[in-house]
Amino acid sequence: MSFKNLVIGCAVSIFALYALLLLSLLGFFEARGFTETLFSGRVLFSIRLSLIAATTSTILSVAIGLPAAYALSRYEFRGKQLIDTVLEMPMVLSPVSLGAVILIFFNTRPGEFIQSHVMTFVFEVSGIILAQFVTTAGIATRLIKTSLDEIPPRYEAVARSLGATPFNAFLTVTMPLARKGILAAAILSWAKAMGEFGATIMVAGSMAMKTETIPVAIFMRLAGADIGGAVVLITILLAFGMGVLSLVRFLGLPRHDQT
Amino acid sequence: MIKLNKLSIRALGFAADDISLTIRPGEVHALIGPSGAGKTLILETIAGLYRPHSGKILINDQDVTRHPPEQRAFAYVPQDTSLFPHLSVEENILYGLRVTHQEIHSDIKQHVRRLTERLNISNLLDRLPGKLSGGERQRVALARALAIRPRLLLLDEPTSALDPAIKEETCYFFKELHREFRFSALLVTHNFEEAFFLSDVFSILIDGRIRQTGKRKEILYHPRDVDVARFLGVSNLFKGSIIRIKDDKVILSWEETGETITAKRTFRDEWVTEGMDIYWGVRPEDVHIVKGEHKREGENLFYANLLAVYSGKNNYNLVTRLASTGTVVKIALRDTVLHRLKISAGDLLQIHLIPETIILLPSG
Repeated sequence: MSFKNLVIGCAVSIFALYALLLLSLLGFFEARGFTETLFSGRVLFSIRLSLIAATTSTILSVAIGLPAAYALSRYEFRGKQLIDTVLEMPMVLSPVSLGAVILIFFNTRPGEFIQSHVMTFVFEVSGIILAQFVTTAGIATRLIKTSLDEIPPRYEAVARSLGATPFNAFLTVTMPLARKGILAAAILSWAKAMGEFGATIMVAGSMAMKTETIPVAIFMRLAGADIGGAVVLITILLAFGMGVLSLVRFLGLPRHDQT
Repeated sequence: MIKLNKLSIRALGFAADDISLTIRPGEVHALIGPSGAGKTLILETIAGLYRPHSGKILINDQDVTRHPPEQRAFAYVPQDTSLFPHLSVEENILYGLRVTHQEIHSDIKQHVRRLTERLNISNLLDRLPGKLSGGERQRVALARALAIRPRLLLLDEPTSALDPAIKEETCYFFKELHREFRFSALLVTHNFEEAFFLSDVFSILIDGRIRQTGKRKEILYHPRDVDVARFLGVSNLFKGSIIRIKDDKVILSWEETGETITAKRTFRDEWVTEGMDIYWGVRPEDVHIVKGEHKREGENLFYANLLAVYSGKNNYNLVTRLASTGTVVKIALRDTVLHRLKISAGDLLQIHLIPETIILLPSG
């Protein structure tokens, strides 16, 4: 077998694996049951909650990730390497562990103070947003930094010599040039937040019509042996995920394998 | 007037010390140094992008060393032009005016229109930089920098990335523009042709220090030391010692050959005293070949065997060895001169070192 055929074979086998898994859903798919489940109040609530939480956590991730990524990309400062490494934490720590860490934090004095005086997170929608934010902020920052690294700092140097302040140079030169990368980071963070389960269930629990996001709802359906219902929710999640990735492709944005 | 006063720079692994120079209003000053000598770093420090280790940058005696770039009005044109790729040519040119919220009144409009006309880019205003040629990009970058009427234009190797024909055209555009707008500029380059074409005053940067500043003739014919002379293309460099000084003549012995050389003494050679060990040199283009039969006699005349002839762009490079000692003397000849002389490798030539072109250099 030639090298070319071998590597193409590997690519095809990965595709076959995913296709096989997806095809297995068809065995439990019922068209009538699908619409009934989809338009049930509980599922619609889960969809709405997932959309709101994922969008809010993405906005927060990009709002903080963008300046953070800029600092890491452009400036030298003490602790930069440490911050850069910590950004990988959500990738090396499983979501359940991340959720557990958040829960443990809220059992410490500062955590309890925040819970009682600032905002309640545990078993609340805000907890879902926090869990998703913690999961996606590092990834969003890393993706945006990669995009900013590709823009020569000399553009800003020229802009400043022409009279632009550092913020103005960032706003008028660097940000427009990095817009595709920033948008890609936002979309991929959003997709990750939509599918987030481990940290969410640890922090916010699985209360129907309160903290039940789509992934949590899938888990609950399976726990109740409602495979048909789980398939409907998986299809919805899959549709959102593939829809977003198609959008990334359509807009010509860099995908995460390129960033 | 812009002054750099004993600027010392330590950044990005480069070190430059004692950088002092003055740029008078309307003057183009070239900082010439070998590639990788940290010239861009010096330029970016002057622009305010790096903080100098010590020293001062003065604008009309006002210290701006700690001012951020946007408060200096030193418009920077990098080697790659760094035109903003997402903005059209017109938006690039107006960038500095817009970002500083300057009202684009008729006077500014006229200034920008004159710039674009003189630089022949009026027809490119709607294009994106990616659609421009190298020469067009350079002209747009110049227009963008000059649109803000900078106190100083900072140019980094402005033509080194261009094709020869475009390079010359861009140089002419620059000269015309300078004649009309009389801006002050500091140009860093390793390219002598570019520097001598565009600039009025020259500073030679070697090993992170300015070794000499002066006008063209002074730099070319009175280099301050051996390093500067070598850098400026004085490839015939020899050891010698001063035998005697009489009126405007310096008689010296050529250590390698034992021959006597006569050099013309100028007011810049006052440091020379009898008995002193020195270096002396002559440019390859200043070595003359005596035409016809070898029968002339007199000072600075030597016989030499022609070893090889190498072709250059505008001239030929000849390698000769003195018949007496085998000392190598390089000669540069224009194409037409070489063809007229009808000489080829293996010929015995008589060469003449003209006293006025002999450069005296301190040995230490």
